[in-house]
Parts: sequence; structure tokens; C-alpha cells
Amino acid sequence: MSDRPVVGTRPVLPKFLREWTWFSAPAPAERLAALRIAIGLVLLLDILATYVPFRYDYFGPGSLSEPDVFSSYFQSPRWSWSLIRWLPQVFTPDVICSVWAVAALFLLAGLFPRVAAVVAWAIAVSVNNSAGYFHNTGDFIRQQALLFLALTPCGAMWALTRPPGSPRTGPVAVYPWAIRLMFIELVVMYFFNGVYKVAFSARWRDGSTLHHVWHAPGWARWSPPVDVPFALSAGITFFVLAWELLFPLLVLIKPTRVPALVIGAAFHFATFWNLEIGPFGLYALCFYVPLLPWERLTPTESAV
Amino acid sequence: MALSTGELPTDAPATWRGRLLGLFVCWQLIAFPVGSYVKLVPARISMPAGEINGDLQIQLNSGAPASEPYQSAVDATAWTFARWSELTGQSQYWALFSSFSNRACFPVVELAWPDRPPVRLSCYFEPADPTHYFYLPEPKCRLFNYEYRTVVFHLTGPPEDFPSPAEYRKQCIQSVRDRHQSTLAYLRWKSGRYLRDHPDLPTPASVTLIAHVFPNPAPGQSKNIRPPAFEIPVARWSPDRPAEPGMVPFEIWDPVESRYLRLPIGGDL
Repeated sequence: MSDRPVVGTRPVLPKFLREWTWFSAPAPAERLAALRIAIGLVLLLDILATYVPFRYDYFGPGSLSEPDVFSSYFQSPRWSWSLIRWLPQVFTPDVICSVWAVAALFLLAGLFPRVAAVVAWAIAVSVNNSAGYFHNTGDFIRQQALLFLALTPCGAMWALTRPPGSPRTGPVAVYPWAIRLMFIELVVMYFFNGVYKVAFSARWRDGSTLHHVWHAPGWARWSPPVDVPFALSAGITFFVLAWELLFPLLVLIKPTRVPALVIGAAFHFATFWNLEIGPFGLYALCFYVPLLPWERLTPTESAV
Repeated sequence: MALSTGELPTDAPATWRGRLLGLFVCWQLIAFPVGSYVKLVPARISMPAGEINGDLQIQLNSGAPASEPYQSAVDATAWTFARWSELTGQSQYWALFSSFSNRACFPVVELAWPDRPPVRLSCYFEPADPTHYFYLPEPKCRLFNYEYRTVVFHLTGPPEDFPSPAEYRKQCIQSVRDRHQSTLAYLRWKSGRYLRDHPDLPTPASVTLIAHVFPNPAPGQSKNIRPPAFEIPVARWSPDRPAEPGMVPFEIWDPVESRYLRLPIGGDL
């Protein structure tokens, strides 16, 4: 591993970050490539399944977002922006979906992946701002992942086009700041979710929230097949709350790290199936992808 | 599951790109926690208006004592991270399901004519039987985000959660008035789709948005013992009535006085 050439721009960091091996030491490029492929795949499915069939309902004249329904998103002091708002004649529903889908496909295949990530990010932000009510917090993490991919050599491996200056074949390493930042964002996300629940929700504090989530048509995709004892739903409510609040600690301690991450991944998988939150669960699972040892799929130099 | 790959070479020279990238990385490291935390600290930054309903920033009430220069630092921090999140599309809104209510609520749109029975158009996501239903993840999921927001006040705000009927009334009306653009777009879209499929029908005299509320069973009760569902009118739009400048383009239901009101877009209630 140590003789892999390092691809990409080395971020100039303060000393304490440079000396933090986990944050600074180059990582196998397969992890970044796996993230790129995961985001590209989920984004492509998202566009084809949830936008394309309804594009005239969501964008353009006569849709649910026009005329200028979400103009307040662009009013001072906000700095929100949208290509759709700037160039409405260019970014018609057909153009939005087709350009976006091609960008996702290029990202997936690793064909000019950084350019693809920039395009996908710009359209994702534009769509979110011009048609805000069709989106939820999962779409913010989609945008975040795309922005980071645009700034990294995410095509260094498993890509049709590799970044300029990188070896044309063979395993390489990358500076890991993007996948580390995404992990830190996961930590912040879970912890602050817990803080808000404790601080502002009596139903989380009394343990009744999951009872209400499971019994709320619309949010829950299926009614509970049997009566769930309140002690069980309250127990799971408190378990979720404790897991969110303790997540920063759990991932710091080696023996609890993997169980905490497995619980997180299972939580996103379960909520994707059970709750009407669109592809949020899938985008969140993408944040877990770089944590897996994808480099084991690459034959070692001696094997080659 | 390895989180670190161990010691690998870091001997690449520093470049201007590297310096910019390092600045970005350091900024992000600060923005994640501070951008989330500062929303919990009361700040004097302008309240979101109009259709925006996702900002969690706690506001410092006007007239509340402010300790300077601490308060100015908080205001500047909140402003800076809000603008950064808008510019890059990385909003820090980590309060998922923290305000989950004890009820479900769906929009119903009723088309009425003077000379024929009204037509009711239910929400796609409303189950026929709230005690027994099942569906898989499906492509219309994004429409749900829009539809529940048309009646979001009745989803999150049962009257007993408010200090007084006057406060309940004020916030209910304000919520509909703030969303007048999306509400009108929804009424137009929903009625337009129905009329397109029924070209023999004339333009309805009124198109009414109704909140169909499904209270959940109380904790510990059987899922089959649901309190009865009920309806609350939200807004009534007259498609043939010309829009008046400065006025909400439909009537808003007053839930305390049980009558429709015609209101200006801005101003006190």
C-alpha cells in the first residue's frame, strides 16, 4: 500500500491536522471511487424514478413551482441561487432532467467525473432552490457529497478517464480529506439531531415519538401489522435518542465503532423502506460507503 | 472495517491550489459543528419569510436584552454560516423528526359548481383505511413533501398545543398566508389536472383546500382504536375572480371564528 503514488492536490493544513494520520495520510483511491459510484448510481436512479416522470409537474410553466412560487428563497439576505431561475428558457424540465441524468451517468462511469460532479451539484442546488417543497434534508447531503466529489480526484480509480497526471493503470492513493469530512458530517448530523430532539420535543423525551411515527399514515409506508407494546416503542425511541447523542463518543472508542456504524446503516436502510422520506436513506448510506475496505478488491502488485 | 490506511507518503509540494483547498477543508471543519450549533443560539438575523419553512435559527426577540459585543459576534456567525450554506447548498438542518406530531394530515381539494355536486380530490398518499395499508417506496415520494406542506400547520399544530385560542388562530392564518404562492399553485395544479381529464366540466366556482386530519391512537392503545378523522378548511380560491394587487389570492379559513377571510399579503393579523 505504502508505494502507491498519491493523486490529487494536497491540501495545505495546519500542523495539528497534518499530524492527524486519520485525517491527512493518503488513503486508497478505491474508497473515493466507491463513493463516486454510489452517489452516481443513487443520483441516476433518483433522477430517472422521482424527477423524470413528473418533470412537468415539478418544473416549468403551469407546474407546482411556477410562477415564481419559491421567490422568497432568493430574496435578500439569502445567497441562494439557481440556474433555472437565471436561465429559465434554457433550463426547461427536459433539459434539467437530461443534463442531470447524463452528469450522474458520467459520474457513475468515471467519465470526466469532476466535471460531471460540478454539473450534477449545480443542478441539484438549482432544483432544490427553485422547487424547494419537493425536497428534504436528504437532498442537502446529496449536494454536499457532489460538491466534495467535484473537488477531489474521484476518477483516480475505477473510472473511464483518470485525472491528468495520474498513472493510467495500477492502484493509487488520494488525500482523504473529503471522505473524512463526510464522516465528520455524519457525526455532527446525528449528534445535533439528538440535541434538537431532547431540547425541543416533549414526545421524544416521553418516549412516544416512534409510536406516533409508526401510526401516522403518509409518513409510515405501512400500518403496524400488530399492536406494538408501548414499552417497546418507547424503548426504541430512547435507544435512537441515546445512539444519536452518543455517536461521537461511540465512534471514538474502537470496540463500539463498528457496532455504532452498523446501527446507523441499519437505521437508514430501515427508514428508507418504512418512512416516506424519499431517497434520503440511500444518500445517507452513500456516506458509509468510503468506510469499507474497497482496496481489498484491487489485486496487490505482487499478484499482478 | 478500517477507518485508517496507516502511514502513507505526504511529500507532495504545497501549491496555491493546495493552500486554497486547505482553507476550504479547515472552513468545512468549522462550518459543520458551528453552523449547526449557532442555530441554537438566539440571534438577531432576519426571519425567513414567504414559503421558506426550514430554517431552525432561534431568533432573539425584539426588545430582549443583548449583551454586546457577544450578541454581535453571534449574529455575525449565524449570518456567515447561513450564507455559506445557501451558496454551497450544504444547509445544516439537523432536526429530523424532532417536531413529530401525534397526527397525520392530508390535503383534500374540493371543486364546487353552483349547478352540480362537488368533486373531492384526495391526496395520493392518503390510505383508504389508516389501520391497514402497505406500500413500497415509489416514484411519487417527492410530491409527498409538497402536499404535506400545504396543510403543515394542521399536521404540527393541534389547538391544545397553543397558549390561547387567539394565538392558535393567529399562527394558523399566518401559516396559510405565508404559503399563499405554493397553496395557489397547488390548487391550480390539482384542479387543472382534474379538468384536463374531464373537459366537459366548466371552471369550478370555488376550489377549496381542506386538511384531513387523522389523530394517532394514544400511546399504549391498539392500532385499531384510532380517534375519528376530521376536516378543517384551509383556503378557498375562486378561479374566475381577478387577483387583487397586494391581497392573498384566495380566502383563508379562520379556525376560531369559523369563517373565511380575505387578507392582504403582509401586515399584522
